[in-house]
Amino acid sequence: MSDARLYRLLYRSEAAIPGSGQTVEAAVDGIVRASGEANAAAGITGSLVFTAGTFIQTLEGPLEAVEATFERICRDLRHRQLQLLAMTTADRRVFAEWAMVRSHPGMDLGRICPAADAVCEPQLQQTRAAEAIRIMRIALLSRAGQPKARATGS
Amino acid sequence: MFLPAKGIEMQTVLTCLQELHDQRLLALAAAICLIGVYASFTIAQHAARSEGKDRRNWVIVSIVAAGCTSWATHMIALLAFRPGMPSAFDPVLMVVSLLVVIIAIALGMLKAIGQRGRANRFRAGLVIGLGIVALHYLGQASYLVRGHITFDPVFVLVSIPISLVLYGMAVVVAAERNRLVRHFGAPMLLLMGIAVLHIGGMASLGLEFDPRVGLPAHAIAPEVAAQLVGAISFSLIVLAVTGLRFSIAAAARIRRDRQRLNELANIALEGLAICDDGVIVSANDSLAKLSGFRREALVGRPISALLPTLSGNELAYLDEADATLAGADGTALPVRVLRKDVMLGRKRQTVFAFRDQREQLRTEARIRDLAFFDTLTGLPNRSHFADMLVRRAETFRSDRRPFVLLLVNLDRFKWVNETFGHRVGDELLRRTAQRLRACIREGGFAGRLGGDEFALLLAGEAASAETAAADVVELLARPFLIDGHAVPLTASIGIAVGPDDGVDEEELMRAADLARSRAKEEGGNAYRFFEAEMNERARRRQILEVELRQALGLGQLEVYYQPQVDPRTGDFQGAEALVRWNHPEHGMIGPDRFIPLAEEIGLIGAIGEWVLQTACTEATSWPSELSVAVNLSPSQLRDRDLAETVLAILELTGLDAHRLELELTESAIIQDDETTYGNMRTLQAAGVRVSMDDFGTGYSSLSYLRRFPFDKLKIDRSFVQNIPDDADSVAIVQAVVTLGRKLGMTVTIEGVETAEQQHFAAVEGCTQIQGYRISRPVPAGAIRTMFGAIASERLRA
Repeated sequence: MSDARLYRLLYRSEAAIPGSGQTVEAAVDGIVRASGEANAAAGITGSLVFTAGTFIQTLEGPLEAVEATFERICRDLRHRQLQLLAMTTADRRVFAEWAMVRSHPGMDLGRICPAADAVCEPQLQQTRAAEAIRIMRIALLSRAGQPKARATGS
Repeated sequence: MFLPAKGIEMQTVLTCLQELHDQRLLALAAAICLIGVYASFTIAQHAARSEGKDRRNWVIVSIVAAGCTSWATHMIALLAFRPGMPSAFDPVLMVVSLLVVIIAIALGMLKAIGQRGRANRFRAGLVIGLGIVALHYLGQASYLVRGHITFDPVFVLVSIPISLVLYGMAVVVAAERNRLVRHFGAPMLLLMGIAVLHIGGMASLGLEFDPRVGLPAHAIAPEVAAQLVGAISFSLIVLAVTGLRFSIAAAARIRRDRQRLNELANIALEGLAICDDGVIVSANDSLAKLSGFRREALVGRPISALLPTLSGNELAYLDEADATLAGADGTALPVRVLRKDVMLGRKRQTVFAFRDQREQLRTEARIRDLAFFDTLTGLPNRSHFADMLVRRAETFRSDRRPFVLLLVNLDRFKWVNETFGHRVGDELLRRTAQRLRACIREGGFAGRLGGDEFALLLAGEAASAETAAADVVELLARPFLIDGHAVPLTASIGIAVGPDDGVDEEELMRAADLARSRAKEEGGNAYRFFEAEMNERARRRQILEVELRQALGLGQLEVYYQPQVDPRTGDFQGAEALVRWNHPEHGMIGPDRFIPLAEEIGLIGAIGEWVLQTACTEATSWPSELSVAVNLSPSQLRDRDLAETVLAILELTGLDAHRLELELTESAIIQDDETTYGNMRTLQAAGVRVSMDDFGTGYSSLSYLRRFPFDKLKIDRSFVQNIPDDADSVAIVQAVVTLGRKLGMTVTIEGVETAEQQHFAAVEGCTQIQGYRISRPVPAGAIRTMFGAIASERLRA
């Protein structure tokens, strides 16, 4: 069964990486680099936010690749309290340019999800995980919602 | 006139040969000798290649040819002699000499055949030589002149032994190994022998002309003798040509055979090597491919270099053996080696066949895998896992290293299979196996015991087991994304710690299984350690099981009846039959406490049938407008004989089918089983009513209403208890009543306890209620009294 449609997935988890702040940061960088390489090969794009010990990640790509990548994450005990927040079909990629970009809470979220500039900008001061999830969710749903609106709107 | 002087020297011999002989005829004699020898040899070779009758005939031809060669050579040499006086030949002696030499050669050949020893061959040569000597002197005796013939014994006595030795040596050399020696040495020696004999003989000859001596009447002139000799010589030439053709044809056949053999060897799948004294002299393409060496590179290589794992002794005597083939790139290939000694041409050689064993070994490994591993997940299967657990329990006795057993059971896997299909179910099991592997640290492994049951055997104590169990619970609770579905799943885990909870495999499995059951009973998505108390509970359950098996026979089961009435008039409409277990120690036990157990241990069929029969019998004593409702369990519904059983009971008890109502729950029909629907349709066609019990508590109630035309909906008591205070409950019940009415179904509200609830039911148009407001379930006698009172009231009225 091949599903040519694009899927987008959002999850959060808490990092269970032993060590001090710096070593954890380095480990996370390692994870981002490794997953970036694997994702590029599998046709997955996305972004990863790591803040206050929490990962918030989006994955987008063909169904099979998204499912395989998420399954790999589900097998990873460095993630704890993992929650699948959203899984939708998508019209086009939001993170087209990045196999996996690590976004720091302080950085310009508009760069990560350019389509959601207006939504994201004002909230960037707040760096709490919950807020970041909310922002990314808005970004995702606003993108995912558009084609539907077009299809049924007229 | 020629007078040989005594003590003549070699010079004289040569002079005599040159001057008294016709040189051309001498050359012809030599030529005929060569041609004849060649003819004899090639025909003899052809005989050696032939078989049976052909072989014998050609041997005779070869011998006759050899004899004729000697004879013709000799005769031509005699004809070449010009003694200077009239001469003639005695035909009888000519023929006798020919016969003698043929017989001698035949005897010599017979003696030589199969003789490997040189001495014997030499003796055979002597026999032939003697024949040729006899030929010579008989031939000489056949030579007649008008005069006297004398012999010088010195030449005769010297030349005969020398020629005999040369003949002997010729036969010895003819069987030598060296090809050159064999092919040229033998004829040369033979020629030399003939020459020595002839020259000696001629030199010894002394002739004196005497006109008084006449030639005998039977003598034939040299010209006539020459014709005879010529005919025989011509025959020899013909034979030589024939022999040449045979040789050419044989050589061509050998070339063709060799090529065919090569082609055959090359299309053989097995690698083949022909060895001479342990050295490869020929190899086929398959062996070249198998070993990685080119064919040319294989030739000259010792076979032991290809098979380093076999000793010299093994190589020399094996018939078949497993070995490794040392490839050109240093790899070691598993092969089966077969060895056979064969005769190729005249040579004894050894053929080695190499069979590639890789595929065979892979197949064997696959068979082993199938026996020990689960094909879906690749995990060890039940028996293999049990073996490993047994071994671990045994090694514990010596190493005292603690270990734990975790039994993992997926919650609601059956539901996943039914809802998402078996393909998703299988994928889920595969991924479960992978997630379990992720939870295993050093020294542990997982197995699949069957279905949705997995097990982990881990090193360490209770604390590490707890970490692992928590990991398993967490990882399996994460969603499984399969084909676009986020399949929710959880697992229940039981933990047994060795050796505290058991010293052998069986005890540990039992302990972990009890703990797992507890985890599942408590809602799943959790792990539980085994506790001694579980044993006690299991024991109690076991006793209950034994008692339940006896309960029916001991008459401990009773049927109670709860009346159903019209909420508006309060008129009885019938009653629901409810089974009770009147336990001698524990008192009255409700169905919810023993029916699941009865389902589990396969007693439900017997109990269900008994309840049905009892209730139907009972109902026949009620007023005829009253019906009886009987509950059916899921496994009863899946029984192919259900409809038949029910109809038989109706016939037996004499109860009208319209007065029987069968109640089933949503969970009973969730399997969407054709047997279930078939049963229901058959019974409904016979007049039996079918109602849906506990409506509103299942998963997707409304779809069932479309799939089967139920006669009645029974709204679950949970919706009724907050009526009329709770607006939501009111709305739900109103909606269901409306729904039932529109679908043409009777709607029963269960659990009606108050007058308000009865009033509500009446106002909303519900046609039947049941509950403590009317009566709790009562024994048969009580319901009969209740209904009887109505009946008698009505009679009175």
